[in-house]
Amino acid sequence: MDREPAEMITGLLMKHFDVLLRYVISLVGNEADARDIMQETSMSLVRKADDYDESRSFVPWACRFAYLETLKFREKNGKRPLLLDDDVLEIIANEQAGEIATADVRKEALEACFAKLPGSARKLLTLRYHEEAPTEEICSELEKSRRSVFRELKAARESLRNCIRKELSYA
Amino acid sequence: MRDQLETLRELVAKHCDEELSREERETLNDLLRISPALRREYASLMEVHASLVMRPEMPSSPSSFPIQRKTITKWIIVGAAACIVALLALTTKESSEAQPGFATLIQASDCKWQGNFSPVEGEQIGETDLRLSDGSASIRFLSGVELDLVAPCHLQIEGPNAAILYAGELYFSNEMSDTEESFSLSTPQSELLDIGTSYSVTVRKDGAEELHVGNGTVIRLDENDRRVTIEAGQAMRWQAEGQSEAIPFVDKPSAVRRAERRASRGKPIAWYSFIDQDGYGFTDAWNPWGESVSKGSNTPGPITRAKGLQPTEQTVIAAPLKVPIDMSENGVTYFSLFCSIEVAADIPKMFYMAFRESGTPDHKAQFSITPKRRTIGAHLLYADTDLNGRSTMALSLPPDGSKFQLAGKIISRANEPDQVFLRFIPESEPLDSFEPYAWSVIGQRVECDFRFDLVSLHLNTQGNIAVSDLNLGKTWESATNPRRK
Repeated sequence: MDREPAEMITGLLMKHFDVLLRYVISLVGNEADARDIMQETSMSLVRKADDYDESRSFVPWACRFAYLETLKFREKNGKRPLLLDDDVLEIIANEQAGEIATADVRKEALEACFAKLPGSARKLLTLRYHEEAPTEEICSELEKSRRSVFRELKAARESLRNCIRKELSYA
Repeated sequence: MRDQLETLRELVAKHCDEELSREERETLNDLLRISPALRREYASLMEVHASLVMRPEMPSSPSSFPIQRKTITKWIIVGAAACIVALLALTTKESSEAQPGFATLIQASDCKWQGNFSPVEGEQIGETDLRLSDGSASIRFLSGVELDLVAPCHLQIEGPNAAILYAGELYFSNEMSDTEESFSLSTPQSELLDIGTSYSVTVRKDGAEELHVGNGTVIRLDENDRRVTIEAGQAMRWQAEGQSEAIPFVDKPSAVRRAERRASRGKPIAWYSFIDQDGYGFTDAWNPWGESVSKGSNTPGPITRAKGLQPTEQTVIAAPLKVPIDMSENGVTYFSLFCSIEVAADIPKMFYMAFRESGTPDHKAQFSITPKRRTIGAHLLYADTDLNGRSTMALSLPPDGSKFQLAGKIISRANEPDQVFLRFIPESEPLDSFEPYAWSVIGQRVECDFRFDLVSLHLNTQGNIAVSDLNLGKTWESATNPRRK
């Protein structure tokens, strides 16, 4: 393999890694599996670096590899059901690959929208995602019931999503 | 449709919070089959969840943006960076500061350093100035003292028992609290002496200082030699002008708690991944030595490029042990290595694994594997250990060219001899999630009281051996089926 295409692919991988990882998380539903899949995906992409057509966009091309690696991952982990069934996975993978190119824009919007959330919602999301605090710890720290914590997490995520939509519509 | 949308949102939320049942999963899939609108809803919610779950920086300061820091994910460090380093660099990293070390950087999480010295994980550290601008780092001293730094942090290490925290947040712990000499941590305002302690100290930009004592006692001496003793569970704040007040106690900085949580998830204490691809080699990420290695030497040298998985010359990799192996204490450490060996000839020390004694450049406790052809039909591998004594173990060699996992267990005992166990796990054998009931080889009992802080792997280039994925952990699962992230 020439080093030049491989270098280019690794560079593109670094640049678009977050986008691809988010794509895989949306397919498999959890971060740990998605990271395993991304590791395999990156290997596949570098192996096939010579096949990459520079005139085409990298992310949709890479998404295809990620999808195929997701299928392989399912095969290997057959006993453990993943979030999506095969047929749903295929539909979502295809639809998402088309959307994913705008993911960087969405990320900027997410940053802006997070800052707009009420302090309590930011604290809750920080505990849940950044601190990775167990639910019991969150309940204890915020002095709320499990039900309230889950309800507020759902609301916070939806607020973020709605805000992002709004931001993007102005973009 | 409205009901379906709300049900879908409910189910996605449950999934995000790990509360989704099997039946609800089926319902979610059914809904996603119905319409593109529902799938778009799913995708947009999952994208938000995915962005949040990728652990962006979310400082508690309400005015701060959550994701300003570029998310250099664990994977990039582990996978992409490994690719890129292997692909593009393949040059020996020179240690930026050669000096006698009495501490080791045992963990560096998303670290960015400023100043002249940018240590890498596993690097030994002596007297130096550390300026951490991003991430968190843990430094372990020979005395057992550990300092967890949370960026932004400026720390000057003055000696084996002394450091100055100029700015930032630091968590101090001393797991070997019976040491004779206490550790002196100074700040611009004070000197803190520990007595069997864990505590966190913060020096703020305005000169104010906070101290939270988790265990034991901390004696604080200020510039006027005023002495304050602070006990476990107490916390104090001093303004730059010297006024003090009691404040609510917080055990550990959040970054330290987070690191501990991750460490408790069955992660290996050391690992190294080889990339199964022709043209790739071993990265130099763990080479703090930068010196040539002479054949037969136990001192690791620069990492040399390997073609595929077949090393073309003596190859050394090394990885720090995030939790040291203290052979003088009761404990167990597991390791595993994927191998494929073509036995062409009797080759001494086809490969060996060694551990560095903490605070020294010496690598001891080799586990060397030597294949021997036997005319009686069986091939044997001899596994030697020299844990301050010698223990030779003969194993039946798997068929030539087959792949297998070499798993081992090192048992350390405080008042009794130590012991090593080995087992080959052929490719065809399903890997249990529990330690096997029987080991192929039970080593002789040996006496060893070393404290190891780094593992290295050496391959003899005459041997036709391919290796992949070295893992060490405190549990069977963490060594044989680790979650590295």
